[in-house]
Amino acid sequence: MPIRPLLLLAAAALAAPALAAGPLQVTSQVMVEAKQRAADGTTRIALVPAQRVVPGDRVVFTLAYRNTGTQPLADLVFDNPVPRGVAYRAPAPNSPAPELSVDGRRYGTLAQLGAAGPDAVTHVRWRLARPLAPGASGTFAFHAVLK
Amino acid sequence: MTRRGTGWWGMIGAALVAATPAPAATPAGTTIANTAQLTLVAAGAAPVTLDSNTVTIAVDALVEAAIAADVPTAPVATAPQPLAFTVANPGNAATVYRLGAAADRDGVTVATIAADTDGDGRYDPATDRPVSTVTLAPGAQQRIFVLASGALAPGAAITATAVADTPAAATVGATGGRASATVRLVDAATPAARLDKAQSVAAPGGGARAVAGAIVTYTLTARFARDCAAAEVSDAVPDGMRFMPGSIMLDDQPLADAGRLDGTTVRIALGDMPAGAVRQIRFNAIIL
Repeated sequence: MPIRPLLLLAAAALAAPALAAGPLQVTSQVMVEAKQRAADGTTRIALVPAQRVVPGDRVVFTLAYRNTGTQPLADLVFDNPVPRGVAYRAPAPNSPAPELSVDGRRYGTLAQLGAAGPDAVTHVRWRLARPLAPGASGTFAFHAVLK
Repeated sequence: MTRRGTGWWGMIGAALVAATPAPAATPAGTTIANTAQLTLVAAGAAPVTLDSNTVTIAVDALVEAAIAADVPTAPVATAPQPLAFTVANPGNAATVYRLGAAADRDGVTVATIAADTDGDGRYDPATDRPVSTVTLAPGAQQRIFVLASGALAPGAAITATAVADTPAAATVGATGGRASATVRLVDAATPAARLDKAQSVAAPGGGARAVAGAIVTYTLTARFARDCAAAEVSDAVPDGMRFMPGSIMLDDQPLADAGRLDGTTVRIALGDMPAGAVRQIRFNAIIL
């Protein structure tokens, strides 16, 4: 059928702009650790949305993602440059550990990069080993401290 | 034989403890934005890179205070005696610090505080004017002089205090926005440390004659009048004598020779010594 390749071509052309708003939904969020005193006198650390912070505050950067489309998405890579004024500390509990970079080009562990400590980290990256099925979702998160 | 007489072969090397300023924090008012980049491949399409939403956080003012005495002890001098302190702003916003000073005994007054306006580290009444506050940018520091008058005597302690003005919107950090530091006055004639050396001779078969084969025990006593950092005692074994291995004692505890013998010189690192510390080193040498 001569019409079919034509349709495919149209679909491919539409796919790129549609992706920005479409099949992959990603929400970036920053939370700050706040000490909250409970009625029993104990102090708990709660995560509250961070709008205003001061140096020394511990913050958690979270990337939540979901495939809202009808096709699997392959080779998903999440690259988060660590913002200026923020020092990377560690993966958040319940999040896979990211690959780290001190220059945005080479990724690995701190030891592999020959970095003295987490202060040197400039980028964190997560790669999904398998295609993300339609409807599937997950989160990545890391702890950092305000310089 | 003069080579066996009591002499000043020993030396003490010491450095005074210095304060180091803290690194500057992210300035108040900074906006920190975070955007992640995503790369993905949809079936049948080329790889696509897109940005996540951008989240921003605003950095608020954090008020901290720091002050350090330029030296922990100062020999008594003529009143008014300037005592140097350095006020620093470890916070992230320009902050006004109210300065205060107090002495720990009656008769010593500390009414005046002057800023080291020209930053030369010396009090000069013509240029270093009295102040009650200093305003410091984040990460900045300013030396001040507390002018001590009255009956200045060894043992007196003068404390300088810096209290940060706290705007209503600011967060006060771990220091509570308040810091103080103390300088203690010491006897002007007292050097930072002194080292005394004594010897005793044990001749073969008894007696104290300095003959070949006699063993000389050297006793070095180091006394520290002020806090001293990285103190080291060294003493060269005289010509015509040989150090006896395994004979080094520090405060009556044996010390290994390794790392403490530099040719024919015995070298003992004592580390940081507080004011008032006394250390006694002993070692033996045999007369050849």
